[in-house]
Amino acid sequence: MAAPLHTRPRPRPVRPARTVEGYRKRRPFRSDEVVGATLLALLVAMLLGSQSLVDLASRQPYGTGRTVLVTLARGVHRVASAASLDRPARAIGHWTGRTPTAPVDVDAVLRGLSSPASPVTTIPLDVNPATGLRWVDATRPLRIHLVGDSLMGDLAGPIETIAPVDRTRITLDHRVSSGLSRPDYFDWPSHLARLLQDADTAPEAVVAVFGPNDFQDVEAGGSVLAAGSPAWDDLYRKRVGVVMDLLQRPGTTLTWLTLPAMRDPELSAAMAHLSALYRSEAATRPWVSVVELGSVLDQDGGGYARDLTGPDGTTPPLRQDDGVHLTRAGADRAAAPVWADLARRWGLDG
Amino acid sequence: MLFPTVTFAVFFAVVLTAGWSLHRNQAAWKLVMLAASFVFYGFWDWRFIGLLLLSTVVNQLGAETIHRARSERTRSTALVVTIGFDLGLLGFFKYYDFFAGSMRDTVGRLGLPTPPLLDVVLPVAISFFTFQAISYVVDVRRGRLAPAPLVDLALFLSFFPHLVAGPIVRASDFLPQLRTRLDPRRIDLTGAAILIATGLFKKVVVSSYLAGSIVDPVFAAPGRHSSAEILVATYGYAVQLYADFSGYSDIAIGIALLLGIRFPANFDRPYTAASLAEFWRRWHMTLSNWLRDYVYTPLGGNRAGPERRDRNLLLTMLLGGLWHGAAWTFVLWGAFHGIALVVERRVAEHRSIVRAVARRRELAVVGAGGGTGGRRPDDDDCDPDDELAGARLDTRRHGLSERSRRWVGRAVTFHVVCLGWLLFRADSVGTALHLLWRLLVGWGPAPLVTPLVLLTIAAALAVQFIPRAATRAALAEISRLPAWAHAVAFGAFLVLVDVLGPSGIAPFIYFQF
Repeated sequence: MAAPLHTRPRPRPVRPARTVEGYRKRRPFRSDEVVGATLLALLVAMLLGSQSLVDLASRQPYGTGRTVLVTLARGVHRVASAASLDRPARAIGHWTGRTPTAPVDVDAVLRGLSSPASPVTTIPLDVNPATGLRWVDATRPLRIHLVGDSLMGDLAGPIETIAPVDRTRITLDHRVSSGLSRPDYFDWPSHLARLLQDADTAPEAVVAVFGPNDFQDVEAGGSVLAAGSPAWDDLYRKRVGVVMDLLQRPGTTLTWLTLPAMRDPELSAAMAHLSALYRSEAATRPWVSVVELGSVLDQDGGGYARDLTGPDGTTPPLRQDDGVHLTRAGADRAAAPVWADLARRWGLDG
Repeated sequence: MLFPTVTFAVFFAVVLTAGWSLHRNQAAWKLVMLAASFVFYGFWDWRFIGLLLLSTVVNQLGAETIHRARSERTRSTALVVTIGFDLGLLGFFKYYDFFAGSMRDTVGRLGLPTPPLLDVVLPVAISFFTFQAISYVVDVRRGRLAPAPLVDLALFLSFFPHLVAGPIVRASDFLPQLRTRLDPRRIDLTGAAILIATGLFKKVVVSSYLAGSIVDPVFAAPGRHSSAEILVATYGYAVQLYADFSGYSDIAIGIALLLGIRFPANFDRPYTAASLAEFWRRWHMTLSNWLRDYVYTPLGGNRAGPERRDRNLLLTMLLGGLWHGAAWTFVLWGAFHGIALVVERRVAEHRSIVRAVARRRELAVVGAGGGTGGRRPDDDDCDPDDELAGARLDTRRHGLSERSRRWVGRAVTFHVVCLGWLLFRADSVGTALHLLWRLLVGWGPAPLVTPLVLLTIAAALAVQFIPRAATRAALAEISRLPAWAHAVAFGAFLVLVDVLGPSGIAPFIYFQF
């Protein structure tokens, strides 16, 4: 009689995982302990992270809510600071580089730029006569810096893809949710001024996009200015002008992107308002060129377009579901005129 | 309202306090949780609260009709109509523009009429609450459940811990918990705190770090990155996706635990899998189990022979891919896994047959040679000079022990899965092919591959191999600490996560599904 077949060893069965391993071996807690512990945990977090709490409260849109939050947060911070409870978080923040560095005196930088006696930023002697800028080749690639908010995050990949790899070094330097209205959230002028301090690594071609986070009330001189009011416009123009003027230096170009239409009509109108401000500020600054994203992303009449037929006959969606950000196809489309502008100004067409 | 925000922390503190204050009054507890869930959902987009309510009412009507029907035909019709409504809703909001756009780009270019594009806004959570609703009506049809009260169903579909990104909870797991009074004396505070803490760390620190430092830059512009960067970015994405999704699931499960509700686990150390089949028993388990029970098994499963089984498997994985998003890359990813699972199964079957045949021959030869008295040739007392020693079948195969084979299997499975993730993450088929091409030919420096990136990936993978017994023992010890110690440690950990994480919080990857 034949011996029974011997099968190979069965693989170890995978037991279905329990919700949390071994919960029966752990001590259970009562509901009052759980609620108490949760509230205590939040209190501990607020005290230990009180500076973050103040920062978070300060970044809220101006209004009564913000005032209340800031007052509460500052109160907590006073208590925490008195007991040095916020020190560990500050120390870790220093170590990780999260702690903001001291702001640069942007006004001093701008005065230095406008002063005839100020030292000229080093520029190569071999200047392309067609462009007035230095020659760009594989041994000295062009340093391109992409700055702005999350829209620049969408655009960066396509710009990097379309730009020649051997003649460009591209740095993406964007901050989600940032803009020029709220330097308390992120101080772009200070950041750019710091970047420009080292002539050897300073960006040469800057591409900037701002706006979607900017149309909000701001505080100035102790009062809150309503977005879109004449006083607000004046203040915002000044902030845009500061960024543009920081990049007025020999051997540096600035490409400013205006905004396409948005799905939300109110937001769209706000972006059109800001784009008009950008154009008017750029018009008096010959080192700034403007690229109209709406020319490639909007419908013919200037309205919002989720998708448009491309030269290849396909109609991919250009905008993400939020009606603001760009899909890859939309960003590819937008990158073309951006690169065309850079290529023209730096003689990289060939 | 994202989990790792102060807004949610305050919201949850209020809901937790209110919930346990009302636990003796079950009806009031349910209403408070329901209201809280609608507030939570409304933070995302209040316009779609109506959609959630509509889905609840229609599915309840369907379940009641099925339960009360006197004939099979009526029950089946009610089921088909209800599921048709659910899938129609999901299909319209999630896939209409995708298919209309695809038709326009293919048949439309031949001059044939195509449906217009509508720019439909995708409601958050629709993929999750639709699947949960389907599980409810199907389980009623199968007789596993009786229809629940409308409030219970509404709470099941909208319960805020799992609403926007899972886990996909079955009605048969959730609804019975609403029928019994919550036990205020047996809350797993330790398990919940550890889950929420590790979930936050995985999402806010690990996932965000890998995304920003290597994954996003490489996948956005493959042409600018070397083979090493693409390889490490692919590994990095495997870890990023796991950390992001499992992190959210852990937080959801932990929050539910604090409220007295148990959710099923959603991940079980998936990168320890030694085969693709095992991977799918460990990754997004609630979706895998849902697809098995509500798609694969109704299609026939493996009951009608290997060809039908393979077809069913492929169809199920295709649907699983499509569930993730309205893009051809997700469909291809699903097809990739479907084909790989079919191939793996066929290879395993072939190996079993070959081994069985070889074994039969061996036993026949041994039996003819004087008999071994029924002794198995791989017994320890076999003559080592026995000329059949080489044919002995033991736990070694190809010179590898079971343990070694398992490690080889893990390495192979991980890389097959990573290849799939490359498709999953790429924004187009063209980008995926470009990445693969650059992986092969793009030799050069790899500045993005820093020691910290490698350490993060290695550590995240290594943690999955910590033995379960060690984790259980550690949690049991931690649970001996008083509640206030849990609170202080957790509060401090929240601050650590905040400081180590990036400024601002990126949404969870699975919110887009």
